[in-house]
Amino acid sequence: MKESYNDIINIRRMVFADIARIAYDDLDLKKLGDDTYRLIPGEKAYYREDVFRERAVIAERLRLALGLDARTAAESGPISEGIENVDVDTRVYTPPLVAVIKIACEACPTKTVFITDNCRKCLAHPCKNVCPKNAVTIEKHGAVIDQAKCIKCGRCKNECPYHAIVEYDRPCAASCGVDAIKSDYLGRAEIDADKCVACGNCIQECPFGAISDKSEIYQLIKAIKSGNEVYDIIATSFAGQFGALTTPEQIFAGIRQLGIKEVVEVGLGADLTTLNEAKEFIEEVPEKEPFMGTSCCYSWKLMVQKKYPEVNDYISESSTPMVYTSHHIKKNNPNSKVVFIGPCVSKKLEALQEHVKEYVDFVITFEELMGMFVAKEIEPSEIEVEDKITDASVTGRGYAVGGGVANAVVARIHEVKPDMVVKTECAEGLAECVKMMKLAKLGLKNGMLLEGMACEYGCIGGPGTIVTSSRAKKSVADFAKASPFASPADNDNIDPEQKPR
Amino acid sequence: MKIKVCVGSNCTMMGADGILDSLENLKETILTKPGVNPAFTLDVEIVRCVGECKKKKNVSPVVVVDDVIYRNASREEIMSIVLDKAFDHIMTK
Ligand code: SF4
Ligand code: FES
Repeated sequence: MKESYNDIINIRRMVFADIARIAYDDLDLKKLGDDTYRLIPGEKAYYREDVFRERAVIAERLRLALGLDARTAAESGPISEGIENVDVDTRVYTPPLVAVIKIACEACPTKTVFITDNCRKCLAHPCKNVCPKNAVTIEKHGAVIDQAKCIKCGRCKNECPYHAIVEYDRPCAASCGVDAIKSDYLGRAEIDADKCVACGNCIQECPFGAISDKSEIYQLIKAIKSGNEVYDIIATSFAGQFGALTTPEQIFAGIRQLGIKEVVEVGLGADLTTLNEAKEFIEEVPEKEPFMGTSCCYSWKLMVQKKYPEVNDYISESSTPMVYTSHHIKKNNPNSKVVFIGPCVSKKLEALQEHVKEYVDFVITFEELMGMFVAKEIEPSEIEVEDKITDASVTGRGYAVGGGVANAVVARIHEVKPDMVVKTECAEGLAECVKMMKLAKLGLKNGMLLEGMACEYGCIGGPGTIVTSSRAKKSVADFAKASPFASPADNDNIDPEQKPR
Repeated sequence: MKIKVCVGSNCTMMGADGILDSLENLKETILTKPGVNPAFTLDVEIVRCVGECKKKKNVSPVVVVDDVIYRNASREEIMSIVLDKAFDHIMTK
């Protein structure tokens, strides 16, 4: 969440609440067009140049929230086109899960160095003097850069005494750690599916809200309504997300009021990931593998797979906390459905993979869950609860914050081998992950445990979060402290047979 | 000055935490600077749903400043109310 983008965040959340309301109230999806007027009422534009475009864009958002693809302006037709295909109670959406809403994209210029009207046309004109491509000329009103010649070295910008020269990139491309944003024939952003790892960073950064992920909130609600036993596994970063007065226990109770049978912390699976990764590290590094990368962030793993296949084997083989937790539920309740609720867009993609899809039936974000609370008029902070949550250990709960995974694994290693020295490095943000892996590939990280998190601050900085990272960090720390299990090995919710020896 | 920030479901969804963050940030930055009216105090309270969202749709986030209700409150609006009061003794009206 990028908290200063209030309007964009609010539009996105209103759409989730709206789709949830349609699903809960069994409203006719064919009338979806009416919702564009409900969400964008009146005839005065508030967000964009005119109200028609505002409604057109929100229509595409509604479609994405139902799991459909966003359309371009060329694909005319009613907004309810194809809607019968998604009016079901099982997962339907298919990749790409992150897409540009073309009619919302402003085709921002790609990387540019530009002289603003702060230029005083000074006599010294250092901008012209330092340009290695002779791209700056002094015209009638000031200095001008010939964009065809400019190589974006930024020298002129650094020299200007008036700070009149700016360098900028399109926010989507600047935020992408794997260089997946291209341009289409109209100069609008286009996501290169071969490179994209679905981290969701561009969704947060576009100042026009032109990039969105798909949702399956509608199908989830239908699955609950059609009588399925639905269990929720909730990511460790959930604490503090649903209002400053709502306790973790109240969040669980609120989710049960949505018709969900039981809620389990994904921290439980995180404990298994810790135990397995610690064992793996002790056995493999450095004898069999030069270093080991953590396995819980799917975008990080996918980035390594796509960009550094040569070292892909050195990413831990442990399953992700999501998979372990779901397995924990499904082994006793094979007919149940499991929804993962988290801060994450890339889990939506992970859940479509072989060996994962049988465990995880739906994935939604905290924002989408908030939309469900609002649609059902549930106030978690007002629910009375007594039971404490005791699914996960202190360090399992710590996975939510950058550095938490490495911290958990090292703590476990030291329980088994107190004298073992383990050097760690944690990269937050996909670009940092790429840098770390590049060096690892060159052998510069040998012997180390490498934690990769595609989001800055770790999961609490994910695109589907509701509160600021600093607020979330405090809540997660308090909740971790409250765990009855100091070590993942003490977690008695986990079947002893499942724990590695 | 007493500010109540509603953190019920609707208001949290529509950005109550952003308003809280802005107020906390003011307390740590501008309000520590010299020049603040010595009589000025800021008391921020977080409260459960104040009921406004149940009376009328699309009013969140709701903030109550010294008993005046602000519907669809924005952080810039609330911050400027605070600063106007904090520096009222030096402002020319
Ligand atoms: S930042 Fe947004 S509006 Fe600008 S090019 Fe990227 S997707 Fe389009
Ligand atoms: S949630 Fe704020 S008024 Fe109801």
